[in-house]
Amino acid sequence: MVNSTIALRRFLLATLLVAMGSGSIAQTPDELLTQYGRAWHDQPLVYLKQNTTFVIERTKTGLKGTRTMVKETITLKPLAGLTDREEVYYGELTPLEKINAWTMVPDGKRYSKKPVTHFVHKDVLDDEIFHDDSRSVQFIFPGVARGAITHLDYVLGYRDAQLFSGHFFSTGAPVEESILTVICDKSVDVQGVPFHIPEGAMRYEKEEKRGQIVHRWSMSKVPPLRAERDAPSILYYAPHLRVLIRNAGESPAGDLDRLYAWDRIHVNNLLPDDDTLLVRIAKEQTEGLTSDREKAAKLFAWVQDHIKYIAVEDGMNGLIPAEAVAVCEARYGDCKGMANLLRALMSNAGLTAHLTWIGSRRIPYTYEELPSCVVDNHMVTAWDTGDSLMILDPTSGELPFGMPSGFIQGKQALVGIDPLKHAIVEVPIMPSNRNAVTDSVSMKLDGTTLVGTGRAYFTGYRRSEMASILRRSDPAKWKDVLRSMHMKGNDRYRVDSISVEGLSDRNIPLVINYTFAVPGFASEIGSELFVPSVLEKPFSDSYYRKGRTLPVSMDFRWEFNEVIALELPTNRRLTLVPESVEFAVDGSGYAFHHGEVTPAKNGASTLHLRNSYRVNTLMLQPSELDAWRGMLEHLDEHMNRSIILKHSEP
Amino acid sequence: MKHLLLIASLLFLGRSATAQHALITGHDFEPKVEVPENVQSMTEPTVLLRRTTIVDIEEEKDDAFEYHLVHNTIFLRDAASIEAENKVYISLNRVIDMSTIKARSITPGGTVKELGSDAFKRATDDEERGNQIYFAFEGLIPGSVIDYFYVLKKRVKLRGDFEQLQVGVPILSEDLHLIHPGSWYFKTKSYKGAPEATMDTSVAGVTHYRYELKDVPAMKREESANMGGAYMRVVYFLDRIPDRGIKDYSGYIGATQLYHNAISAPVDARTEKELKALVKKMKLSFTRDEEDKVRTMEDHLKSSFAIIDASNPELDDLAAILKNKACSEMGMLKLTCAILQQLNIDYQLVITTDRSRMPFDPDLECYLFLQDILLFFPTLDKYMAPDNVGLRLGYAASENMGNYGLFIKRFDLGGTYAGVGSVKYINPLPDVATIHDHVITADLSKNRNACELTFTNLISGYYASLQCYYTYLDDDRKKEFTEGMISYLLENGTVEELKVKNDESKLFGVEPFIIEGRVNTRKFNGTAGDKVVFKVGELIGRQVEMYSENERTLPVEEDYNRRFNRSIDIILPAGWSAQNLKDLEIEKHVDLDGVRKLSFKSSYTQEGQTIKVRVEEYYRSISVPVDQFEEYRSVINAAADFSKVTLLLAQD
Repeated sequence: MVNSTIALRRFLLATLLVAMGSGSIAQTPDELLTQYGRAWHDQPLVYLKQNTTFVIERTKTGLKGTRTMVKETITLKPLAGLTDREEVYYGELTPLEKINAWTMVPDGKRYSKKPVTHFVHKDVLDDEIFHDDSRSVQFIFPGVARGAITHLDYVLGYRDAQLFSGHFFSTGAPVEESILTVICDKSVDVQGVPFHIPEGAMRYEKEEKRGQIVHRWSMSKVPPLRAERDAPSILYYAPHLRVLIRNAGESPAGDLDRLYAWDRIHVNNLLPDDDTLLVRIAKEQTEGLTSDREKAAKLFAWVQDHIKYIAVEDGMNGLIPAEAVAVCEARYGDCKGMANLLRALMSNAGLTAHLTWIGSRRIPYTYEELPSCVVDNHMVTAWDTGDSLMILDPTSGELPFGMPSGFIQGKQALVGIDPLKHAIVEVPIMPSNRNAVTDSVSMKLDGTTLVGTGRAYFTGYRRSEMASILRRSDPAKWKDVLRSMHMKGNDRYRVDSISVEGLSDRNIPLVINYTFAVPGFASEIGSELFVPSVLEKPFSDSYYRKGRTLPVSMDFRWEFNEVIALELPTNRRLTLVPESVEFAVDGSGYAFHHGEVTPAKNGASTLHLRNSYRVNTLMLQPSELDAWRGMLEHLDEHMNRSIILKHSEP
Repeated sequence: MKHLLLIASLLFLGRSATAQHALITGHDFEPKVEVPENVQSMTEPTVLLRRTTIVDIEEEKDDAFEYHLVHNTIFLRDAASIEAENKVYISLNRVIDMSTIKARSITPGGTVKELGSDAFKRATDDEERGNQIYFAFEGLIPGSVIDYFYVLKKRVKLRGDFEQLQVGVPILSEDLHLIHPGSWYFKTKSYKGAPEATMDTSVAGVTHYRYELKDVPAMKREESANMGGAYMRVVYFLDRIPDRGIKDYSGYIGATQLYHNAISAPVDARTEKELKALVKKMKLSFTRDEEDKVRTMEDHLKSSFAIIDASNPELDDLAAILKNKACSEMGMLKLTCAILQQLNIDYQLVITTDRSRMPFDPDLECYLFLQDILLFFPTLDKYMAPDNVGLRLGYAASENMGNYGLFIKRFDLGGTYAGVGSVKYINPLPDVATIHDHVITADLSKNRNACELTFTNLISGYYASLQCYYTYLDDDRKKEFTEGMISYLLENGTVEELKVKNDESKLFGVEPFIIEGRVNTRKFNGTAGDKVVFKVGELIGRQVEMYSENERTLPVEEDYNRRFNRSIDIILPAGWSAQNLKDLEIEKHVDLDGVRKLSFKSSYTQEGQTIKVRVEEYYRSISVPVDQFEEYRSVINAAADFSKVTLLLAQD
């Protein structure tokens, strides 16, 4: 064993020396500038190398790993004004073992090497995670000017090789050469799982050297990654390769079982949980309730109401949930702790509930295509209703019972039934009509000012969104909240009064009653009054530039309905109502139903308009954007139509 | 800009040693926390029941330190206030030691839960400024009170520091104690309604100021106001220690020499040689005049040396900067001054504050007001912000202008140089320095349901920082940025032509950044039966209505003066006319001391089928008194009103 380890280390050292380069460059600065300037004429920076080497080592306690990153860049245009410090992240489970950096500064026909001597280490605090062990090391490359070549190599240790996340071939700048090398002995099988790599763009080589198997995946001339408004995470489009690691001879068919066994190690000690406090709460909360559904709903709401989301994820706390009773007493926990508390309470109330691993929508993979720990980043509770497994996420404080949090819709969940048994369930995607705003507005014109009353119903995620904002806002500011989120007509729109119903019950619609005025809503020209036929513009932020190559990610499917009753002035005659129209692409679009006139009190009459908008997708692919723009072009035309009211003849 | 020498190590002291005041050493939780009845009837979710701050300045060995106690007792009415307040972060910047920290929560039922020592997490940072202690309260339910205090031993800022007495939530009761050795003389000044101190003489040998406040209202945000400058606060600093012969300790005579010597110090022969080589690379012999020379130099430095926010002595050191091409803000200032000296160009250092945080008080001399450093060129009558990569000669950050500053002039004393300082006002830039103008032709003559827009969009000054970065972008990003800047014209249209002019950083402040183009769009054309509704107002982009419901309490204070000129020609189809041209005429203004300072005026003329709309809007004062707020709002809203103007077009 000892001898093989020494041999491996020697081999590793030799491999890394080749990978890192020796700091001497054969070509002159001018030659390199010409070469890369020609290839990437408009780019300020090119990555010459963006390489990962992962060495897997078998130890008595399991497979460990060492990851070496090597990055080299050449500066084509100095970026002085945009330069910041370089940063490398590490943590308790992936400690930083070594770091080297230098700049090769052009010096006539040669380069002179300027090493980085000052490295600053610090804890990284995060808005989302209250406490973990993330640290970073920051440094500045010296002497970066046109033609300068920077070099960085660093080594991270992996106490568990399964935590290795793979390799990204692209960066924000073009990459000349990007290689992932995985080295292991014959007792380990490695499988690369590629994502978003164009056909034929990646090479794979496998060779055996001194008893080690070397897998190498490489790409060259990788174009820069783009960023766009409303784009999904880069995992949806960046070329990258994930790695599955097995003991030799293990079947790929058993990957998911092995992943579950690995997950289960981190939760085994938590079960069961019959602490007195939990038993008491479960009993008090479910007393008098007869159906399991009522009990489940009550306990879910109890955790939502009483436990605040605060994430403590240092070291193994990133994988092991806090004990249910500790979360209950502290009144806070992270997703794992909250899921575990809900599970324990349900279990104490006689319900069957399970801890469940899931990836947020940031992570696009299914468990089938990538049975690896990088697939999930979140934990929820699954309640076994007898017929099915219902996913409950108590970290979303405004969710109605039975609805998954928006950020896990459509994702697979890995439900831990017992120490050996697991199940995969797919979280449903909520249809657009579950997430609706329906705004019933009675209004009339006072000169050119529109005045009226409204009663807006919010359901599903639209309810959660609005309720969460209202809760966080001073009630004295609620009028401003409604005004900014649902502007009517133009920004002279004024909310004069507001009242809210249903804020304390997540399971019923939130209702906002309000009165409003929009000065200058109508235009009076001669004897005619021109009145816009729509109040809100829910698609106003949905224009995406032509030439966009990235998908558009929506938070959820939704629907917005304006049900308008416009009281017509008695001294005016309705001379034009724009005709009803509908336009939709794959279920997303709009419908304007105009025209019904009914008698109202005092001899007046009422014109009824119903303007509806719907988004029926969670993701618009680039190939769908032309049709989407076409829909908006029609909408522009149809929304810009006015009702005409003419002075009645004396 | 980093403070220079604000933290004083008084090596000349050390003649006595004192100990922490009993107010700190004896401080503890109250045995019982009562929530006053009136709190229940208040509407604010979070109420600070009691806030105590003790600043105790002590001499120890050869130095002076500050013991700083903060104690907050906070009522949390509901789930939202729990969420907002359940975590506490305490910066340990300047902190040598935290001697005490205690935190507890008290439920409405009286259950007290004190945090154990492992609940206090610590974030460490090699650079110190990221060092923090943080913790989360346990057991909180609506109606709970959180109660915590801590004592920090800090490096003291004797030459000027402050305590803010007002926050975003109401405070029922507040105490600030300022304690220092009795033989020292401090000066204090209270701002924005903060009370004056009473003296507590109960302990001999110390001077003890006490500020007591009851029912301090929450500071409410108001738009276009200087919120940072509006909070009640007390400024304090050491003025003299007569028995040690120390006087005017925080005054500007000393400050002038300190800053002058630190920034404009002579360089060694080797550095001078490298500076000369750098100057040679700038090719200044091709420049037209002194202004061009200064501009060329500035652009070269800002394009070649990275300004990096990090604590690394090499970033401040001229020799290392020249080698590494990386510097701190202070390093860039030193480098710029060293080059100016090489070029024999006269300049002054101007040291001021960010007025949106702490307006410079011209009537009080202390280093608290010496925070940001600019350069002033008397012969050009222009400022420069060497540390701001998004600006060039003529422009300093707007929060530094419209403010006072300490101007330090260099005097030649026969080969050596000395600084002479005086406090003067830094005039804000005029409206013409920051423009966003439009020249648009909207041609409806070919298709009345769409229009062909030919446009020129000109921006300069604070709107045009992109000009300083544009050449860094690759072609795709250039296109994306350009389209993004005028998306209100391009959205869903067919872009026939789009080009950018004056995109080089050296043109910032000289020529406007220009986007020209042509687009066919239906966005601005609507219908009303057989008539066309043309949304002419939307051609100037979205203009936000200033919405005001609550009584205005603060004067208007803007970031900078600015101008918007728009020239819009609308070509109508033959045989068509516009019916409501009068809607295009809007006029609102504000006169200050009889002079027109803010104005919005739109008008039109018609020549054949072309309607020529002209809009002039300018803001020539960054401040407007509170009693003229409604007039100010009317000018802002006039632009918003114009943006809503639609023309009704009908066939004759």
